Amino acid sequence: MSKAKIAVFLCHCGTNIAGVIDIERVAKEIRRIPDAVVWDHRFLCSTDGVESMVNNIKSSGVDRVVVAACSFRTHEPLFQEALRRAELNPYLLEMVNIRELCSWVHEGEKEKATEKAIRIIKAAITKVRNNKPLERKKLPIIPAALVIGGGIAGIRAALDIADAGFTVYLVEKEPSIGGNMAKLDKTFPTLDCSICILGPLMNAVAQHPNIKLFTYSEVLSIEGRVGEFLVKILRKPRYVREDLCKGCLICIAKCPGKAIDEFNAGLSYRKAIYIPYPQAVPRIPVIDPNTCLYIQKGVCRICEKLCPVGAIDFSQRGGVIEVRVGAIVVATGFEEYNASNIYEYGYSKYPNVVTGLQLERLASSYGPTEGRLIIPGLGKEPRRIAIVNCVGSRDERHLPYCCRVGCMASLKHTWYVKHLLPDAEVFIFADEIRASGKGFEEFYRRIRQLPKVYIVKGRASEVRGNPNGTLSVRAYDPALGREISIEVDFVVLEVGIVAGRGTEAVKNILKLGVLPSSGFLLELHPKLNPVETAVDGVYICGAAAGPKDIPETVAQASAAASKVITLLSRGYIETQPYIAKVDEELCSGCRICLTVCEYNAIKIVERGGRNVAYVDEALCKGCGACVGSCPSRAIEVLNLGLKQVEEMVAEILR
Amino acid sequence: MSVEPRVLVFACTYCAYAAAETAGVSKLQYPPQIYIVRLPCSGMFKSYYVLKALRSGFDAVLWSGCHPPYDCHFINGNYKARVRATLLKAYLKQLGFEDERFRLEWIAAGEADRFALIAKEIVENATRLPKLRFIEYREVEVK
Amino acid sequence: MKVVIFTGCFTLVKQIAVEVSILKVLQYLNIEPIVPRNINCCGFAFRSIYPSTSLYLTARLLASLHNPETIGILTLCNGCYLMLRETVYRLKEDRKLLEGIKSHLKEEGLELKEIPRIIHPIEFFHDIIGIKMLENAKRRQYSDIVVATHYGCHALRPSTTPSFDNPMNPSKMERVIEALGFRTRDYPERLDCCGAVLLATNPNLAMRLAYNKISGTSRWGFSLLVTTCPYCFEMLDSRQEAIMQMFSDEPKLSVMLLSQLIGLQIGLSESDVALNLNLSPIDRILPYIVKR
Repeated sequence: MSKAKIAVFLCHCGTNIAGVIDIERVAKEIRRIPDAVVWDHRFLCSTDGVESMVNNIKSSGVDRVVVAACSFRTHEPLFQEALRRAELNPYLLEMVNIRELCSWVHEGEKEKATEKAIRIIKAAITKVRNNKPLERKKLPIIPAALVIGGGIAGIRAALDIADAGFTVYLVEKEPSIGGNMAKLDKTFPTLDCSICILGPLMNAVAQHPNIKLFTYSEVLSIEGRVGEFLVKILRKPRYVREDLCKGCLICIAKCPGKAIDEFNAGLSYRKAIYIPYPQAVPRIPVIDPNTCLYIQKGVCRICEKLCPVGAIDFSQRGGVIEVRVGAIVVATGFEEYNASNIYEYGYSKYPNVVTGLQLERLASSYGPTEGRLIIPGLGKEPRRIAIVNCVGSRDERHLPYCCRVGCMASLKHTWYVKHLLPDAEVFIFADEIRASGKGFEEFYRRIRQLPKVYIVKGRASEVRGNPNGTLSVRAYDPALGREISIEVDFVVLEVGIVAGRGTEAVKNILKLGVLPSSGFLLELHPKLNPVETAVDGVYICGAAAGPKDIPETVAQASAAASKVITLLSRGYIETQPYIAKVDEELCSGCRICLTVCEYNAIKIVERGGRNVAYVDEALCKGCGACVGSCPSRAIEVLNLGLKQVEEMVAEILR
Repeated sequence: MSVEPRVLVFACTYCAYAAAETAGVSKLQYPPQIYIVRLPCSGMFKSYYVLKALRSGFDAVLWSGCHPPYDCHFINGNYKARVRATLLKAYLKQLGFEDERFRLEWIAAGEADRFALIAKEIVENATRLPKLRFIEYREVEVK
Repeated sequence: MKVVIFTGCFTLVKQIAVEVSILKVLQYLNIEPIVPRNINCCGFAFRSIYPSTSLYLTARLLASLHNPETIGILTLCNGCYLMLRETVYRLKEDRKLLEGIKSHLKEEGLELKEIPRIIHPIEFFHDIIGIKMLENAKRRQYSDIVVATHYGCHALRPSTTPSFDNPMNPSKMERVIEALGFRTRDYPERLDCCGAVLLATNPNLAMRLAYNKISGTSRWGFSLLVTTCPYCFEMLDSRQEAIMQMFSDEPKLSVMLLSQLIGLQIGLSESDVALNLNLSPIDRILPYIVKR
């Protein structure tokens, strides 16, 4: 390289800097460096200051610039632009902060502050000598998105992205989209019918020209980077041809198979060939291979004979399809915590103890009882009902966090009971009712004023069976200062929620972070980047990112979708310039850097018969973890090389 | 060279360096013997940098990053720094450096007062330390 | 096989049947018991008022009871079991504490060479003797006798200190009893307190707890309740008549020690397992179990 000439610009910043630091003395000292030229300005960031900077760079023919002024955070873009205008690569600029890090913090010690300023400017000059011109590369983006999970979050995100004109691949592991919201009877606090507001959206997904729906499918693997992900999707065999089936459901009528109905939370039975619920989308049955007589024992095939269009196809074996997308939305939702783990509440021990989701199915018009509220297994209507809040939630033995929906669900469930059985008595056992949402407190008041509804302040300690089949719910009532016990014939547990089953698998495939206590996906920043993740181009929304109710889920899904649309509509991504670079001569191919890279940016490639590390510039974030780990000094971050740091350190005290 | 101690601070861009700048904005005074080198992340920890700083004449070195567990902008660079710093600490001890020569601290972007406090503390501690003297390899050979 | 037996104070002064029956069973199983008599208090009495005194007492006990030729210390009382397992856990977790304790012990001329294994009677029968062995040893099957189990709080709680079974939903005692040829069933009062710890400070409440336990359990139609702890046995068996009288009720629950039940099933006589010391109405059930 030809001998560099370095321009040093000193800013007075009015008296902010010049009031403490003797700029003249600094300039004098810096001028002693043979290849440095120095200018100073009262306000370098003013239009006049920048103008003179551009002119001085151009006229003096320097090829490196040091600006001693304020923070790089606020002013680097401005001065980089000045370099660009002076036809110099903007990354040949080095900023020294002599305001926040010097003049402002050493106001009483002018002499020493001046000395410190000289030393750090000299260090910066040493560093900038070895700066190299860097480029931000533009990489193309595939204008398509993958949405994982077909609950309300996934549906909303898919519709938003598809409406913007991009192709969306929506993957759902169940035979139908709809998720947990489809299981609810009504939604709080407005008591809207859940399926009535969800159904139209589900149909919109099915009919949208830009959405490719893959139900009964799972994501197997995802490779690549933002803008260019290669996704492998496993399509499980449905044994019903989606292209032929007309959804007449004649096949279901005569099926002799019988299995527990997962959709109805285990409260009823379904056939071996079934659709999960009447409004299912797509309206195509699926054959459960574990229950089907033909698949298990080789006899039957009644459905095949009944089907008028010949859509039943026992030869299906499933398959793997590949799609390419530019961005990914993870919306894998939530699940109820397993209430059997909580021994003291007697779930799965007593038939008249059910979970909140089971009550939703009991109250639902397309549930196992067609909307009649009866005690499962006993077949009679309950007279006294206890609703137990915080089951597993806010409990260090199970889930340390609040489920955020249980309190309102308990009020809604009280309304179900009072609506279906007006004479019944309802006891809600709660530490407190957390009604912090829009219209929640009003709903709470409305429920509290219903006759024969009692809110017991005190967490239930135990649900105990009695020999006559009733249950005693015990709690400590702080108002009375003693334990109370209330005899009821039906108990509803408002169980805490955990991340959905699919979340764990997706987390491992995409290497996303999760909260260790709960398994919910971790956002990039809890306040400022709530839908982004540490992996570029991967966004999260809904209950997979933490417990939330339906309005919040929808809002977050739309937020994630808008992030995806912003990314896809730009059409390209710019790599960040400060990336790690491997010196292939020095690299021994030991792979230590692969293990420390959180972004999977480092690969091993073959170069001249040797295995060496290689950094993918689209994935590298320039954190430098690999730099610290390399035993061969073979990897460094551009413009912050090993030599640059060492020389800078040595120069300060020269 | 002055008799005053010199302290080098390696600060990560997103937390510790931001804290230092916030200290400036709040005009929290601390001794001018502190010099700050900005790194992208504390996970760039290289023991060699610390040794180099001590060899170049700094009396003490502070390595600073974001608070565990979730503050790190680069997922978990602070954990990587902690692991390597622990090893370095043991190694420095074996080489005969005093414990106060090297320190690892987590400073969040908002903790300007803490940054100033640590800066004061570390300079104060360094004042009590003797000047480092390195025996050149040649000197050893002559004896 | 050898095992150190730590009886604890209450067995020695009040519930002799606990020791008698377990020694007889061990004799039958060819296990040599070592029963040291130069023992001190397990420290349970001071646990909440002088924690350091109680910790030292327990550690002292560990040092004096430890015998490297044995499989560990079999503690007959739940209170002692709690103290010993808690101390073992704390000493294993906290190296500094262990060093401190060791130096104090040294002043007395004692030495804690290694931390012994603490064994609960249920754990002993379930894990060391083994289900298979009990199944083979039993004389006959009683499919119509349903036995209620009572673990006792200190066998399992506090749940943060490791013990031999799941503190929320234990099952080892059930498996031992099923291996002996009886049926068991979960019941809501299974993990309820017997009240013994409150006997000194709040006797009325202690009696009420015991009454709730006894009357609650007897609602479910069990033939027999089985426990291992001398304190629980005191409340549920020895004082049952007095407790039931306090609440104008009748004694109605037969209570036996686990070691007594095992003894009967492997063919020991009633006097071998000191059944004459039981004060609860066991006459109702005895004719069905004992072959006269």
